[in-house]
Amino acid sequence: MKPDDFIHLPEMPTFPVYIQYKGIFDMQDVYETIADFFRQKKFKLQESQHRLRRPGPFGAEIANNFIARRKVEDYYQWIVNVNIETFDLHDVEVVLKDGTKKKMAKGRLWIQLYGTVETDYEKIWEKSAFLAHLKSFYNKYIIKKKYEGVWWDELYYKIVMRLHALLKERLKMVSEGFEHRHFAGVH
Amino acid sequence: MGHLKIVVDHEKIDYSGPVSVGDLLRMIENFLWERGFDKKQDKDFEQNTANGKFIEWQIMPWKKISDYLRYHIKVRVLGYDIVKADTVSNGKKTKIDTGRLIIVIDGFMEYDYDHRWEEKPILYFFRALYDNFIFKAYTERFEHMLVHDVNHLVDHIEKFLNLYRRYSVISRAAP
Repeated sequence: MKPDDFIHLPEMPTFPVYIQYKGIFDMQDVYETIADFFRQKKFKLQESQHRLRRPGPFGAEIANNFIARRKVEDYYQWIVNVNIETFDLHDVEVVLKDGTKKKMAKGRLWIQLYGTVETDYEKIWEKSAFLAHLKSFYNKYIIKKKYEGVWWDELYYKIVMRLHALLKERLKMVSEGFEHRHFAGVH
Repeated sequence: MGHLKIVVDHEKIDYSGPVSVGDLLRMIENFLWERGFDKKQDKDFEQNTANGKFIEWQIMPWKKISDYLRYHIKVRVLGYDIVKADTVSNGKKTKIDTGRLIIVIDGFMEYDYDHRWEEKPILYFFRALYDNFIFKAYTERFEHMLVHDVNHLVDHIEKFLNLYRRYSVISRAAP
């Protein structure tokens, strides 16, 4: 029997959010926006996969998977996964408003974002069955409100949804804008 | 997912004309946020086509009413051939989106969202008894509240789209 079989709520995932975009966009800007966002929010960003395929004559398929981690407190950490895939991607040259030319990408873009609140990330409370049960009790009864009402909420609204809104803004989508920008707190 | 009951089925708004799509979407989000709903974004798609932009935007916010029951309101916005057009607003020239919008709203009530009453057939049976007979008055009242919220949202959207310039009757708030 593994500890995960009886520990309640060892982690709490957020809902995945998606962006699908078809048109002209700046891929470099998308990467930089993601990296910069996580740097500002004190996350450590890791690129777990970068794959390039050319399955047909219509353009390249690039897949990027990023994992960002932030150890918020001793007991819990936030993990955010960003998966990007492009389809039919090819370079185009566009003329900007000031008349300068710039290379951008044209094709389809698919982005998936989701986060997880993970408790006891150093597995200190899984060294014995007694400690594991204690952790289970702690998660289920003592910190449950804080866990699902504060830690999860902050991850979802301040990190995942905010990055979602930021990417929409960079892609200049019609639905850009973040309604929860004044969500409690100043950061 | 616990027992999901459709309370509002496909309330639909079809609109063609000038509209600020970004403001409309933010207004919907804000409306639901103010009423205590948590946001869940299902779809946010945009395609640049030859005739303009096509968008598909769907949210399904939820709100826990008790430890047994929660509301879901699904709002789906489809936009066809959205292009920017010049308009005059308050004497100033501005650009605004123009196109066709289809907005579909559904309201759901989810019973027993923690799945505590569906582990055994006997519990499932008791849950049905509880919902339909013992708790009936409360269940109906919760339904009225959800219908009221959805009607209020539809009224807000219609006002935003300027579909009528008069006061309209919205459903009465549950006591």
